[in-house]
Amino acid sequence: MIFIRKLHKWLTLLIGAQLIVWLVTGTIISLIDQTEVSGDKTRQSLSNQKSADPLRVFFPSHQLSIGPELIHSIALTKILQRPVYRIEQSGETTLFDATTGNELRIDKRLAEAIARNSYRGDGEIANSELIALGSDEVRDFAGPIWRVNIDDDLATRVYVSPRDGQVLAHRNSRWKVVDFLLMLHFMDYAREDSFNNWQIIIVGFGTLWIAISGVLLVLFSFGRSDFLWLPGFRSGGTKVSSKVGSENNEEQSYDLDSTLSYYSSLSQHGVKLSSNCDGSGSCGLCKVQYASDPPADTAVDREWINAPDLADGFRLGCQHKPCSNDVIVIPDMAFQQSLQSAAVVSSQWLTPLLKEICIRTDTPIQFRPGDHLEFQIPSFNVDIDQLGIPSECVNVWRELELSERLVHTVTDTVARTYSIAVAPNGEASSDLRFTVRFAPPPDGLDVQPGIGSSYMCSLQAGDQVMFRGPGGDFLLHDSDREKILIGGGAGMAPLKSMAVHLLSNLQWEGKLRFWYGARNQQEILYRDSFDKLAAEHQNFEWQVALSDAHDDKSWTGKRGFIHESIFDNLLKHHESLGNCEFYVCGPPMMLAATREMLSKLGVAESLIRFDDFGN
Amino acid sequence: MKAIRLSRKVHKWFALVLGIQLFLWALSGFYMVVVNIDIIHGDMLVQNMDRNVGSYSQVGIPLEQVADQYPDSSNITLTAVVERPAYLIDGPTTRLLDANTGALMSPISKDIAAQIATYHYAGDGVVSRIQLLETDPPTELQSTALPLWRVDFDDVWNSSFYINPNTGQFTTRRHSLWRVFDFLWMLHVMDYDTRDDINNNILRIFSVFGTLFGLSGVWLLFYSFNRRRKVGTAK
Ligand SMILES: Cc1cc2nc3c(=O)[nH]c(=O)nc-3n(C[C@H](O)[C@H](O)[C@H](O)COP(=O)(O)OP(=O)(O)OC[C@H]3O[C@@H](n4cnc5c(N)ncnc54)[C@H](O)[C@@H]3O)c2cc1C
Ligand code: FES
Repeated sequence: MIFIRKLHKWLTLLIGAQLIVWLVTGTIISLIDQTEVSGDKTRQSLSNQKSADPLRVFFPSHQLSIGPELIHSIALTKILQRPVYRIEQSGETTLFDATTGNELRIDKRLAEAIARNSYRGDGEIANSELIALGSDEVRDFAGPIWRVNIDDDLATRVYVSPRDGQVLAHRNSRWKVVDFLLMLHFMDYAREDSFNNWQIIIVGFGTLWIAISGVLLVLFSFGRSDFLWLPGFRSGGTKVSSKVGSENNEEQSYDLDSTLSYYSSLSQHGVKLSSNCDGSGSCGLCKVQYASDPPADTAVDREWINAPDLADGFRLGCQHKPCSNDVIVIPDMAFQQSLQSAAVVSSQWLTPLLKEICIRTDTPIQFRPGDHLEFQIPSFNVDIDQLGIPSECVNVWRELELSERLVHTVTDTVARTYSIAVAPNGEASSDLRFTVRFAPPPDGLDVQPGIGSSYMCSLQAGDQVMFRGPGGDFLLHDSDREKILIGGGAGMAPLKSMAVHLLSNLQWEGKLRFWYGARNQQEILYRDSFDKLAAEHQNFEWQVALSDAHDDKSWTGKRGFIHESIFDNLLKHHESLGNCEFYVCGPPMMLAATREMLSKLGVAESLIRFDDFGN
Repeated sequence: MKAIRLSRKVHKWFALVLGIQLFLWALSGFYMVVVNIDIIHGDMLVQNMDRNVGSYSQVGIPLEQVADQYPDSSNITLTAVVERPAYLIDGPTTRLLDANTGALMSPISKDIAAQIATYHYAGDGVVSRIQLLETDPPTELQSTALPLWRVDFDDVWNSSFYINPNTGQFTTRRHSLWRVFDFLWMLHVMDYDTRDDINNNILRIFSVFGTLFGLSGVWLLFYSFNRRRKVGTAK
């Protein structure tokens, strides 16, 4: 769909001017009365011009001095009242007076008389002239031509052929206008009286694609919500009453549209469930909890919600429609209608594609380790050059082959969630930190890079950002069990918050392990601070596995995918697996592989918590 | 509502209402510009279009004799019908006369009509059907006066040649691409009746709104390419 919209837009940019020309000229031509243009209004029909006198001949046709060229036709006809012979030979027409046998020439007087006879308006002949080079108003007639001007409102002129006295055309000022419009309409700038020229074929081909893509866009861009103004749609009995409660707030009743999902129908009432995927079931953020009688879970539900939570009535709000008398509970954040603001304090690339962004919120916020904020993504337009990419990373970016600018134009509210990468300090805090991974287009796809991450990576000190939150369900259990954090890429953020919180804030004494997967040494985040934490805390183990560093001799640590590495080196022979909790966060592939590995090991789902960052 | 959303909405709703016609304009227009008009006219199907009388001195009956014989005629033309000289007489009635014998040829018979058609036919088909049309002109003849012989050829073009029985003249020809053209032309000018009135009100209304629609597109285009505030620049 995005491709189609792009095609539509760019083609229109390219040839839109001609589309407008077609529409405008077509409209005007249609509005101008054709019978005026053709001159038919003031033109005598041929049958009315004929005189009833018989064709009387005095001069024998055999004595005419006919040239030797091939004869196409010989006619006995009348010009005005006078009988004449007309001989058509290859390229040549000759007239002879049928009474005298003399060659008849169409002189000024005769041309005017012929013109007068063909005209029936209220004008009179003003003047006439023989145009030696022909007229550009009668383009298919070459050579000298009589032009007889008539003084009527439309400045009619009658063109008469000096060869055989035929009336070639009636033209007037209206015709002139339409002739010009047609030239534009046919793109016939060379005046070949043709609409088969190459320029119109090219533009016509483009237009066809604009039209095809336009039809597709229309078919796809209309939804039920576009027709709510129709009485039939409104009173269709589709409203149901649902009770919606927040985790802390009181319950509230809503009349929801039962043809839409909870996600969409609630948003019509200003209640916005979090989403990175606009309700398409691919972010897992829109969870709601049914107080009782949850609907059967779908495959999409199961992908994002683990079995214990499903049993507790959690479902994805974008996958289920309201039913009357439902009672559901949704996160507090969904009720936050006004946004909070923060100023960017600094930003810095930590790895070639991952940027750390520090912000200071206008009012301090209280959050839990693992929580995220939901950032509003405004329109932006920024040069890649302005992202401050360090010179040693430029190669990585060049290989992405991105266009020079990152552009996004807001059409609908877009928001993206980013996990807080610092630990809470007990009270509400203003200084927050995020690690955002720039999301390049997937391999082989010609699409925009991720808009949320593009925006976040374009932020610089002093910029203002708007957000909702905090919120989230990726939280630490309050228990003494061994905690194993498994992360990859930007999945660092919530895990770091958790680890630092446990070790530095709580001085927690249980066993804590953090296994982090990266592709190469360049991509290891916060390496020094974790090395330091590990040195200071005996109960903390910090391990990194590199998946794409075969040639890197300087790496002495673990190698392989993180889920394989932790399985081989730790979990395979872990003695008290049943007493471990797992916190997994990272890109989808890593997450899926890790969850599968854990489930094969027989780890209870209730002991696994995860956040899927998508992409 | 923000201007961009409004512009998108306006464009979208216009498109729903006008969409089919806009699509048809693009489609029919494209066909008309791509298929060369000479092909539409069927120039590749005809030959011997230069009539040729030969030498006048060899023609049996002189012009003035015909004029004497048919005093009510307004116009007498010596022409050639399948290489035979013939007089075409215009007047209250139209006649065709053998110019050597003076015998009346019109109205021409089915066989002669087939002969004339075949003489001018340059394709590789053979005559498959001959029919005299006297009333109810088919759509493809619109303004042409009847009666006419219709001679169909069994070629890939589905060519039909029309011969005037009173004059022996090859009046016009039609074939598949012409018929498609004519149909698309009808869709283009929205005159579903005679197909030649470009001043009809349906077309006028659609083209006025079509233009407004086009302008709404420009409006939208303006927004979707408009350069925005640079996020990356500090302060
Ligand atoms: C709870 C939670 C916490 C998160 N925390 C973090 C965090 O701390 N740090 C972090 O970096 N991320 C985090 N994420 C992920 C983040 O919210 C975004 O999902 C991520 O940044 C990508 O969003 P985007 O807007 O950049 O990409 P999107 O615009 O959503 O695009 C996603 C991908 O699709 C591609 N794409 C675009 N158009 C098309 C198309 N037509 N067809 C196919 N592909 C297309 C893009 O190129 C991109 O690769 C978190 C997510 C969740 C759910
Ligand atoms: S909104 Fe993304 S999964 Fe429901």
